Amino acid sequence: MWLGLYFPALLIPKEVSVPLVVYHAPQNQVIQCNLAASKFGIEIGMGLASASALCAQLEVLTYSAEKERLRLTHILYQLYKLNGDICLESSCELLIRCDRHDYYYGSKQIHLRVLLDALNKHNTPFYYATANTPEQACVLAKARVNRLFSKELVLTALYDLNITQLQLSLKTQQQLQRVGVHSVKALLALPIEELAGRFSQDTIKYLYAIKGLSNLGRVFYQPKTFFTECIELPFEMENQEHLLRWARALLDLLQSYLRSRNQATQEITFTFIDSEKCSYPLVLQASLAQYLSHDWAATLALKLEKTTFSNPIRSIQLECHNSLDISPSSNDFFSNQRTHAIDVHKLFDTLSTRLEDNAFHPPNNPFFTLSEHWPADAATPAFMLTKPIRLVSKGRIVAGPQRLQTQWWCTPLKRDYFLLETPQAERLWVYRNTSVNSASPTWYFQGWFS
Amino acid sequence: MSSLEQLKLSKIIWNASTGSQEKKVALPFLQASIDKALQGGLAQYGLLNFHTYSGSGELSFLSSVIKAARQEGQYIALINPPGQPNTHWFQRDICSSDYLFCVHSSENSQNLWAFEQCIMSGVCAVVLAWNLTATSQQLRRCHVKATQHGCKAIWFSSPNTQQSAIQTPCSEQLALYKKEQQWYLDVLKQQGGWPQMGIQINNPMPISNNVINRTLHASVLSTAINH
Repeated sequence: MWLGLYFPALLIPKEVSVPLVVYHAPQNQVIQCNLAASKFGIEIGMGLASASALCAQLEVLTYSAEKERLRLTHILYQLYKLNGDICLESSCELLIRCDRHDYYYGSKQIHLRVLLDALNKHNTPFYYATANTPEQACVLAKARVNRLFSKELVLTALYDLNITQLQLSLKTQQQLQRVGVHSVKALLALPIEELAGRFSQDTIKYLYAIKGLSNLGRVFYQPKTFFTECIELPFEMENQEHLLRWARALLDLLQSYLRSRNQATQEITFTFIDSEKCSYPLVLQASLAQYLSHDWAATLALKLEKTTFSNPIRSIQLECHNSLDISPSSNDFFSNQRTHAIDVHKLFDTLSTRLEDNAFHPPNNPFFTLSEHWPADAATPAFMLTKPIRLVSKGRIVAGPQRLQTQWWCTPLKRDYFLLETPQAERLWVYRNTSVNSASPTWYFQGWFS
Repeated sequence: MSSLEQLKLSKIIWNASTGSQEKKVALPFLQASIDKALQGGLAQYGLLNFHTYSGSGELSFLSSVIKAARQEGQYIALINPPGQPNTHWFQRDICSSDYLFCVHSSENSQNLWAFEQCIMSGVCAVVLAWNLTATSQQLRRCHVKATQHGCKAIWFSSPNTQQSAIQTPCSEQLALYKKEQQWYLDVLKQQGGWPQMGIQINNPMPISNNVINRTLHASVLSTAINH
C-alpha cells in the first residue's frame, strides 16, 4: 500500500495574507496562488498579464524548483521519523510505502492517521490518496481525491480520471485522443499487449504500473550524514531578537536531527545571507559536545551581539558536519563532578564567545622563557609583563641584585634583577640590562610582587 | 520614612547585630590582630572591596583567605590583572595553574560582564578583579550574586579612587597601606562588625638579600660543578 502526497502551494508563505502568486516565467503561467488571489478570480495556468489585470495589488514570486524541493525536504524530514520508506517523487510530490510499517502502529488506519496528523501540523496545503502502486498513488493524489482507498476501489477511482491526468507525454496523450481514448477507464480497457507495438517501452511499463500489474522501482530517501537546513525569512530582518527566533527554529531541527541519532556536536555554522546576497558565516563552538537547541541559542545570542550586518537578512542557513555519538556509559545521573565539568565548559564557552579574541585565556607563563636560566627557588613576582618596559617610577632598591645570565650557547643575555619599592610601597621587579657590550645600563620594569 | 530607614531598606547599611548572625563561616587571615578585628575572618561569600596599590603584596596577604575559600576542583578567575600571572608563583602560593584563568578585555564593560559571569557560574570559588570601574548598583549586583552563588569576589581598587563605605555595597571593605616602615590594615566596613582603623599587620618583603646570596651561591656552585 502506498500513500501519495501532492503539495500544490509549497512556495506560498503561510504568513502572507495579501494576494500572491508564484509565476513560472518559461511557461508564462501562474503555477501557485494563495486564497486571497483566488478570491480575485486568479487561477492556476493563467498568464501573468491576465492575473495582474484581475488584481492590481498582486504580489508575484518567481518559481524556483530548488526552493520548492527544499521546502518539501523539510516536510519529508518530519515524516521520515514516522516512516522510513519515503521517496521524493518530484519537487512537489512524496510517496510513502505504508504496508511494512502498519505492524508498528497496530493497524493501517492508525498509521495513516498519524502520518496525516503530522502533515496537518505543518500547515501546508496538501492532497493525498492511497493506492496499490506508487504510480496510482501519485495520479490519485495529484487528482486531489483526498481518500484512503481499499485495494479493490483503487481502479474504480482511476477510471473516473481523464488521460491528461496521467503522467504520459503530450505526444502519447494526443495519439490516444485521436483514436477516441479520453478516459483512463477506456485506456485501461484496451489490452496493453496491443498497445506495445504503438507506444514506447516506458509508456507500456507505466501503463502496467497504473493497472497495478507491476511496480516501477523507487529509491527511498536516505538522510544525509551531515545536517544542513536553510530558512527563507518571510521578510527582511535586522532585529537580532527576530533573527534569533528564526535561528531557533533551525536549532530545533538540529536538536531533533541529533537526538534521533543519539549524537551531539561541538561546532555548528550559521550563515546569514543579506538582501545583497552577502554571506555572514558565524561559527559557534562548544568545548563540550551538546545538542540542545537552547544551549546553542545562548551561544548564538552572544555571537550576534558582536555581529553587525550591512544589510537586512533574507535567509539563514545552519550546517553541522561533525557530530559525535553520545556514550550512554558517560552519563552518570548521580555524579556532581559531571555537572561541575559541564558548568566549567559552559562558562568557558560563554566567555570565549562574547569576549574579543585572546581576551579569555588560561595563564600563559611569561616566566617560561626565563625559567631555564633561573634558580628554581628564586623569588619571582606574581604578575609579569610579557614585554618589559622602561622604568619611570622612582623608588629605593630593597633587594638584589639577582643575576640572570645565559650560557655561552644561548643568545647573550645578562641581567641584574632588583626589588624596587616605590613611595606608595609598590614592590616592583626591575632589572638592569648589563649587556656585555653596554657601558651604561638601562633600567626596565617587568613585574609586580602582588 | 527617615533617610536612615531608606538606607536600611535598600540594604546599603545594616545593623551590626543582625549582620553578625549571617556570617557563619569565616575565611581567616591567620594573623591574630586581623582575624580578631574581622571576628574570625572574611565572610565566606560576598564581595570584598580591597583598596591597595598593585604590587603591595596584596595577593600574598590574601593567600590564606583564597586557599580557605577554594575547594578541590574549583577555579580562580583573574579579571583584568595588572600583568600576566606567573604560574610558578601561583602554583607555589595559591593553586595549580590548571585551575586558573584570566580575562583581559580592553573594555571595562566586558571585564565587568565577565566578572559577573564568573561569579554566577558556580565554577569559581574566588573571582578577583583589578582596576575596574562600576557604579554602586553594579557592585551591589555583584555582591548579591556572589552571596547567592557561593563565591568570594574580590574587587581591587586603587586608594586614589577610594569610594566612601556607604557608596560601596559589599560584605567587607579593607585598605592596605604602609606608613613609616609599618604596614597597616583599615577595616573600613564589615558586615556584622564595626570599622577598625590602623591594625598593625605583617606584610613581609618577598625577597631578601640573604636568600638571594644563598641562591646565587648555590647556582654558581652548581654551574662550577657542571663545568
